[in-house]
Amino acid sequence: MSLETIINLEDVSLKFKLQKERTPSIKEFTVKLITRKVSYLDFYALKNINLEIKKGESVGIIGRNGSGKTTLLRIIAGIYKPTSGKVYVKGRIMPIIELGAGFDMELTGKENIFLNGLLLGMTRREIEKKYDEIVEFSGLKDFINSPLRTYSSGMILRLGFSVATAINPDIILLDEVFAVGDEEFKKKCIAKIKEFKENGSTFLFVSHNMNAIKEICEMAILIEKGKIIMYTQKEEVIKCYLKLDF
Amino acid sequence: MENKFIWIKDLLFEFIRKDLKLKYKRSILGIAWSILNPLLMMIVMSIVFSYLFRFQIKNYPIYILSGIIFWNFFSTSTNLSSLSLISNSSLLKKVYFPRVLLVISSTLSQFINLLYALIPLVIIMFFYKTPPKLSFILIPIPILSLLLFTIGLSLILSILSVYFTDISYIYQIILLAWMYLTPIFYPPSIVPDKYKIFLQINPMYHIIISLREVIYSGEFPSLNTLTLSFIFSFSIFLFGLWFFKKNENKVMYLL
Repeated sequence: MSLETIINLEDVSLKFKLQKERTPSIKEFTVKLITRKVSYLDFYALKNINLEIKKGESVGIIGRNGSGKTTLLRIIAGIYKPTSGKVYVKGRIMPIIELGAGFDMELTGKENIFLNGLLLGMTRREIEKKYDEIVEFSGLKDFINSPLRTYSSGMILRLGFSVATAINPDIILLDEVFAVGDEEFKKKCIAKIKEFKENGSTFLFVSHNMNAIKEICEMAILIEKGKIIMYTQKEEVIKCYLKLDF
Repeated sequence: MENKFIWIKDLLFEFIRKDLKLKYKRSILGIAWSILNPLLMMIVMSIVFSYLFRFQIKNYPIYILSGIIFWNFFSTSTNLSSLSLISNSSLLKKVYFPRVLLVISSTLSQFINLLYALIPLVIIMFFYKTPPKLSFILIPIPILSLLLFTIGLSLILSILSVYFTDISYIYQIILLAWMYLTPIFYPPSIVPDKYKIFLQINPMYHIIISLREVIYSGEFPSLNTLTLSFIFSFSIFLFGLWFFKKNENKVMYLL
């Protein structure tokens, strides 16, 4: 296995300016700006993150709700820009922060495959090439020209997963996609993920499901209040996480 | 890099296609509404304004139509685009794509509707036996000015309305006042001299006037007006892009 660095975060911080009161109207804001009463509260969603991930590694990200797990994925995916620090990412990213980004209930399954695929970074031609495969994998051939609103939530999930896994990306960001869906779906997901791993994809996997982390990842990161407090072998990190008092 | 360019182009087209598909998805007449809507509006306006206000304007329906379709494009797109970041906030947090595409695609799909609306305009002109004159070939220039001005303003509004939700409500009122300050229903000659300045500083006035000249009067607009109006619109467009780029990342945290 090559040891090429594929993701590197150097001293990355993300600071939100929280206004102490709710979003004001323009009038209030102007009045306060003039009287210099706009007060902000600095809130670090991520603070001084240093992280290096090598090609082919699978890393679980664990931590409590609101600790900054999803924010970290968003930084890597380029959705958020850090307030300070450097983000280096090499290769093609497949961000599966939620399945079916951009799905529209009024559009047909086919139309949604194209919309969703484009939003995930594929070109139209790539989707056309993979189209039959996607439909096949989703098992929704008979419904593909019906509007999405006629689908069950399980069918929508399957469609989203089929599009997201149609191409072989270098980096896959997964955020709690197993939380929904039945056992069969979970098995299908894990099988697909293992297939990607064999092909050399790098994984970042956010989950509260320790069993899924154990099954997929080798390493794990523990995040607490926007800081990485541990990054080592998964067993040790999970042990430490479970000991955190809730 | 080339691949990225193709992707951006594909995504833009897909957004536009989606907008157009969804717009009339459940209606029976579908895309025909883009043609019917301005026609029906013209009929109502011509009746109201020619009987109630008795403007002495030749071929008043054409006069109205050649103003209202462009104004409608401007007001609908700025209105919709100004909300395009807010209404897509959940999508913006799931995947990364150039966010500017949301605003531009929403304006461009309205623009395609505008092109459809030109069909009834030309038909009505033949009906009134005043078919388009040679000046009509200049129509792309003021239309391009209109498009650039609309996109520029939409970009600015889309950012501002994330910072201040009230912007979109205030803008509705501004639009209403702006419409009456632009000679769409009335001839500019009824505006008293001392208020003419309000027309002169209104960018939409210059655009509408140029459009009227090439469509309705069949005159060639002065090169000065065309160029100045284009340069102004282009500057607003560039400023809008710059303003959007400068703020888009900050705005993401507020969505």
